[in-house]
Amino acid sequence: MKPKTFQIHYVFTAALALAADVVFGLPFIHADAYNAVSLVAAVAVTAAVLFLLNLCLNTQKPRIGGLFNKRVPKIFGKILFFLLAAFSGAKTYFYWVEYFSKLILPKNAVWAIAVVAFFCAAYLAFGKNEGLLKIGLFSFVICLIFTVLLLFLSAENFEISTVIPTKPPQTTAFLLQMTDYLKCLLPTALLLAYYQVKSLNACKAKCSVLALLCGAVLMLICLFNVLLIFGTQYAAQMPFAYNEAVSTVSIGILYTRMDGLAYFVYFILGAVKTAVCMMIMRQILPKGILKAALPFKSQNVTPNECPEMRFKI
Amino acid sequence: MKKIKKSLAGVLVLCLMAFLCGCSGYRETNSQYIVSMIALSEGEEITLSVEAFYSDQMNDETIKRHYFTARGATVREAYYHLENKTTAVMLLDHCSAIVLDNTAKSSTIEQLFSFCEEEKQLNLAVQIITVSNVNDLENIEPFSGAVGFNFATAVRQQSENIGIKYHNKFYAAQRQRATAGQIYTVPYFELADGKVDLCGEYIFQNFRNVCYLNEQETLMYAMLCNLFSSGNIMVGDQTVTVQKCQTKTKAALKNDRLNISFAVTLSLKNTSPKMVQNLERQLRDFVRTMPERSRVDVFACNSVISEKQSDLWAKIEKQYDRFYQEADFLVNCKEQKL
Repeated sequence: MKPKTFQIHYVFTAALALAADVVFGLPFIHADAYNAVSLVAAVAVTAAVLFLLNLCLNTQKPRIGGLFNKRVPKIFGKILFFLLAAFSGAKTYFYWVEYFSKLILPKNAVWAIAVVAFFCAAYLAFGKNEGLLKIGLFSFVICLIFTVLLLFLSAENFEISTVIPTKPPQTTAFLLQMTDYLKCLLPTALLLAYYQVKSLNACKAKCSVLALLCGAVLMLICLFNVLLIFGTQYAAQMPFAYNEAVSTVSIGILYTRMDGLAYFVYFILGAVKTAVCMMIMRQILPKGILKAALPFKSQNVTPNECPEMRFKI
Repeated sequence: MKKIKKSLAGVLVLCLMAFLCGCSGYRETNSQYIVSMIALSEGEEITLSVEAFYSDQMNDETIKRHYFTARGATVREAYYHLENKTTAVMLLDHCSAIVLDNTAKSSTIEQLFSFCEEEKQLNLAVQIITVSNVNDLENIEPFSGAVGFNFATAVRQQSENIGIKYHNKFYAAQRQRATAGQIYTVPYFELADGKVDLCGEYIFQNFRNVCYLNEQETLMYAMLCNLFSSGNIMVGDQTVTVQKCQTKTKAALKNDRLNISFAVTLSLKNTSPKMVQNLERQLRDFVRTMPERSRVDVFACNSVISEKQSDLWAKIEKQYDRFYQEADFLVNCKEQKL
């Protein structure tokens, strides 16, 4: 895959991975009228952190990034990112399995759903790098179309007063909401930056921020869909509020529902996020272990294949 | 190119899955009853009735309407008995109305709400309706195939024609319970001569109906609670077209008495100053009767005060019920030229 193509694919795949935890969990328990503003603030903080991280992760930068070329920090960093990927991936995976077992397949055994979901994510993660990236690109476009369509279809149920703040924001409440979103966004953003470095041997801040912006668009559409229908207080009590919001859409006299579109959005968000985390874990593990354990062949872009990427920020 | 084709094929499969999942758990039509309405009443036991449709494609292609009734100590138990009455499965996905009458106690309505939340098949946009007597539903002749759909259509048409916004969809009632002083309104239908007639609404606080409003009062209540957008209203003998209506509620504490004022701004068509005065008088008379009739703050003034006048709310919060019962109500109507 050419570096330019990689960047485009990466932006949309990363956007899906970033949006996954937020869409699965929104709106969080501390939600109030400033929930959407707190999400935007959390995105801004994440973008700032990514700029700083860009300097640290760019190993070709002799003064700051060079630190990670030394043996001890390098091993320490690898362990840290491995644990972070394992934790973040597991969190999404549990949400993902819970969603399918509770809402779509309640009569099926949870372990069966968990096994299928695991193999689905593992297939994407242990296949070719570009396979996951291509699915990410196409799926993002479809997800965006579906979410926009569902937003318009549910517009007749919107109650605008639910998102209009009547009081000035309270600092503590606002920070709590922002923390809820940061807990989802920051670990994923860090992992995605690492994934970029491992794949291209360079960390492009532009790509990371674009991914964050695309993810934010998806998150905000879903969040507004939920808040405009349920209001913050009722929505905060619901598990998988976006799915519930979408299930209120009915077309025609027979009250035909559009839940299938939400199933797709949840499925692809869970699959991409879990697969990205698995892929990062795979990249960190020594190759000898993987060769012995897995039959799949991995094919990452190496710096030799794209020398022009080496020194760019 | 080959790889792109493969990826596109994969995405196409995923898309198809999305659409096919919309009707997961496929069953033949002759193995299920399509439920259009659930009705609840209460005597010694809870009675649950459903209007359902069944098509036996093997023998006859016509769709037949059925009405099942079952009893139980709880809503869940009554539904369980109802399911056991037939060999076919009850499909709740297309249920459009949940009907109550005056016999339903608040604890039973609470059970019904829990049932709606737990039963994932039920659409959260299902409408909650009150009727004069649930037992008469069986004799109603549906004009659009199903009585359940008739209710939903009537409420939608009323909203479009008169401009009243009802908060009677299940999720809207739940939203109101969580925010606007737990107050929400449910349309009331009179069942007579085999027909349904929308002729007012019940105001609910949490799971209890606190007050009945007739057609005229429903309009005035909607105007005062910002639930009225545009439509025709009767003032005395004359019909007035309201193009826009906005009400601002404000409270003040004077001599240990709460003064609650409603400033109604109206954009009217073909009207006179006298008509505005008449409307103002009607609204004032209506507002002043409500504390005694309902015994609760049906205008959700408490949530408006707590949101917008936090200093005042801190003073009156602990004894709000007393303050509200003794409050002086003012209504000021102002015509605004468009």
